[in-house]
Amino acid sequence: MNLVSLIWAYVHDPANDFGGHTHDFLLVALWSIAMSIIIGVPLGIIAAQNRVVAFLATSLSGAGRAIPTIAFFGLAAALPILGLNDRSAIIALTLLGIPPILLNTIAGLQGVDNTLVDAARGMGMTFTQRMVRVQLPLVLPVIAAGVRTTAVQVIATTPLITFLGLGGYGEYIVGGIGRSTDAGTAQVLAGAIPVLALALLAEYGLAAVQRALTPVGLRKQTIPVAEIVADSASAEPGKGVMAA
Amino acid sequence: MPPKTLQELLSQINTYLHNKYIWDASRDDSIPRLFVAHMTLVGWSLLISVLIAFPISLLIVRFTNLYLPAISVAGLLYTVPSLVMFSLLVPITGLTETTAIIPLVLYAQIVLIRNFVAAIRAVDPVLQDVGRGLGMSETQLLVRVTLPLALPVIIAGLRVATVATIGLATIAPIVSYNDLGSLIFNGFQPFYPAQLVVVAVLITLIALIADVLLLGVQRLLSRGRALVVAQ
Repeated sequence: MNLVSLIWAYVHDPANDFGGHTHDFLLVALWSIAMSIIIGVPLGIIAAQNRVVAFLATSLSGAGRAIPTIAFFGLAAALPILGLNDRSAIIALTLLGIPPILLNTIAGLQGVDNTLVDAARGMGMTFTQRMVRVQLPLVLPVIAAGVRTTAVQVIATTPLITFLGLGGYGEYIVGGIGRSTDAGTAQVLAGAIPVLALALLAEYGLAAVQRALTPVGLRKQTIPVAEIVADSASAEPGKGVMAA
Repeated sequence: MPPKTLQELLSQINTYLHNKYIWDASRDDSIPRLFVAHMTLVGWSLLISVLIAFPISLLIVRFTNLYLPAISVAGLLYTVPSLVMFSLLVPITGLTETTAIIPLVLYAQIVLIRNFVAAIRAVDPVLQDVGRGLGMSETQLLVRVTLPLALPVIIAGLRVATVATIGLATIAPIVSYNDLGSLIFNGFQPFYPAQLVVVAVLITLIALIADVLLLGVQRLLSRGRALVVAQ
């Protein structure tokens, strides 16, 4: 049998529960991306109001880059009450996923032309109105760039949940490594191909979303800002890089 | 046993740190030995990374059209999840040290090439003209004028790559290269929280110390000149 039919057979064998592993993988990855957005964006809005807080958030996120991805799982699982379960995995991946969104939100908001904010203030807008009607629409593409980086990074790291005994595509990859047979290679690929496909989908699919969110008149100016911010936050693979 | 309170976790950590086996350098799985293995992998990977990224950067500076294709390829490689990259190499290069090094080298390219190119481009062209006026050859110009001036920014790129590589090397036990990462992978089953915390903190500290050391080198080399940091 050739490799393609071996992979096909592996995926369709009910004993390998491809559907279940896909469910485990997506559940953890999507929850983590959602939590990163839910926490990262408001945190960024708060941090952007104050230079000291913004500096602290930026430095802390920078220092966080020194923590290996697998160590996030180790640290979360070791915490009292948590242990080896999907809550620990989601907490670890959320902590990993917050910095790009947080940094982009801060940088984006700080990059909004002050005269626009002053004009909005002069028109009598409240803080919430200025944020919702003026600043956030301008910053949305930059935040989207952060979400893209986060999504790629979370998807790239989720296979490691297999070490917490949580299944997912990583189980196929880790189980197949070192089996030097064609069946072993097929097993690795049955896990590696979906992970790679999801990572590329996030990188290039969300790049399209990012472009769509950018007001037409601003496309030339806003995108470079977004790219630079996204890049400076990405010192690790899977964190996604510009594809301008 | 999973700790129930923070105190319990801390006392488990204390017990772990006082375990003499983890410091016994005659054991293969001791922290000192795994540290050496970790840094050996990082060292080789960075050395090879620079040896590849540097000529590519010189070419890009000379032939500007190469920038976009080179960066796009390096960016695409960077998007490949590390577990996928390591596992896909195994059928080709086997469970060897080479399989551990290749992904680290490929991932470092994007950071290094970007910084090297920016560093060389940031050198004032007037100074290069002066060199030319003095009758320097292209090689002399590169070695005596451009590189010394570009060095601080080059080191800045190396810093980012070093921190990333130290973290990434933690995944190498996947392909049977045992370094500090293996203590994390072994800490899940059976569950050993103290080991997970100690080793996670240790690797993070190593990365931060490497970062600070290289920052020192960078400062030393810039000799008071303002730094242009590459994006």
